[in-house]
Amino acid sequence: MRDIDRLHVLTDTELQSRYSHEELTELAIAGGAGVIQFRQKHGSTRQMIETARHMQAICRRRNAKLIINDRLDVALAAGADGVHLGQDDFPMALARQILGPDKIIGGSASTMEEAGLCLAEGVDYIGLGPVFPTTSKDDAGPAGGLELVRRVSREFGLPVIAIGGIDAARASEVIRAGAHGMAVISAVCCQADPQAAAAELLLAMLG
Amino acid sequence: MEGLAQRAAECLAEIREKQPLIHNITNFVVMNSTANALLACGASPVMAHALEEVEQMVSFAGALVLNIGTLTPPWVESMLLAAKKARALGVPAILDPVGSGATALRTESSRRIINQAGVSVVRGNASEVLSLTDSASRTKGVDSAHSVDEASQAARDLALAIDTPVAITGAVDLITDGKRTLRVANGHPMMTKVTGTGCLASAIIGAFLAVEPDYLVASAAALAYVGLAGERAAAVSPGPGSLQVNMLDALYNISPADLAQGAQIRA
Repeated sequence: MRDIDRLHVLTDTELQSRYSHEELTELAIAGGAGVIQFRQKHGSTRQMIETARHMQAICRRRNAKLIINDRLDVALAAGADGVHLGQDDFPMALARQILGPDKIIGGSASTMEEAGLCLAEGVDYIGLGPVFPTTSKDDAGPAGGLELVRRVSREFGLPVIAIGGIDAARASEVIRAGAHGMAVISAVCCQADPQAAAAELLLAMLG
Repeated sequence: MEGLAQRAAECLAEIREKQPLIHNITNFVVMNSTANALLACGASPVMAHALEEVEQMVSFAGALVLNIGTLTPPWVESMLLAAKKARALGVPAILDPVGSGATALRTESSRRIINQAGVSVVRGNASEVLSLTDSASRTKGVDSAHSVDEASQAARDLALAIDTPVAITGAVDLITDGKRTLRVANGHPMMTKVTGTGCLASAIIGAFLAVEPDYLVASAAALAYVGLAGERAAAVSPGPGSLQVNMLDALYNISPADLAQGAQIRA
């Protein structure tokens, strides 16, 4: 089993406009994020590749990992460490064939069934959520709660990265429920001091 | 900001304020350099390995550092005695199983210290840590033949099995108690060209254990501090000779605020 870092920060420039993807990458890593995930649903492919390459350079320099959401082509173009794929995105097993065994592949799941599909498709970790209600993602389904985290963590033997409405106050209960780690957006990107926010999350995760 | 970097800074400030006595039973190669590193950090080192005095010495100590780098059976007996006394008194102890896996004496001695006396932290390179688990591994002398990533699961298994945090140092250090895992990204490749940087890291972890009851946090904080010193020293050192000297200066000159600013502790 791969060694997946525990604090994932999704950089976001739609919920906030103060910081760029590159700035958030620097700040989140400085605060303690081991994985940065680049997720952008709009904009040109060319622009995305350029941003991803900048982010990859920062991650490489600072020994963190970059994962690209949904866009396998952008991940390949930027030399990223892996991809994170939703249930309707690029097929996970096919992504594994293309990327090979060394790249990280994460799969999104919001139910036990979807988590089982992720396992069958050979992902390295399950991005499980939304755990709590969230406003960061328009199309997020109903919150699965900590019980789902507990069940998926127990059932599948894959690292569970919980996502959705997690902040420093809830970090330790998510970990106690069995999650390997967590992915956050607003809890870092939408704070006045993203570095301090990431640092606070990291400390909270230690319980 | 109340993060781990801040906690690391508070540890360093407390070491300098309290100057805890750090009792070392260590090896001939690094006895001088680790004593100097502890002094530069702000702690108060003592090197004592005679069977007749280790129990008395450890009773005054803030922490005990055990390092099997140039072990002989009588030294191992002293380590066992000191570690048992430390445990009885609640004095934290760190074991550096140098070269464990390379010879039967080293592997068996490390396991005896862990199983018969118990320690608070084990710090080694990937190969040394692997040798303490039941997985097959080969250690090439005292340098690691494995990457930190290869050993991360083994480290977690070991930490759970012995109920003790395990630190693996490498390009990115990994510290785990089995349930919680941290990484430290501070450091510089040139550090591997100076003998005893791993031993130095273990001794400094000892100093941090003396002031921080969460041994996982203490270990991460200490490794960030040593790594930051390595970065600063490498920036002004053309080679390993001057790096060794400049490491001591950096350990001495890094302030708690510098550490809060420069620590790269992650998960």
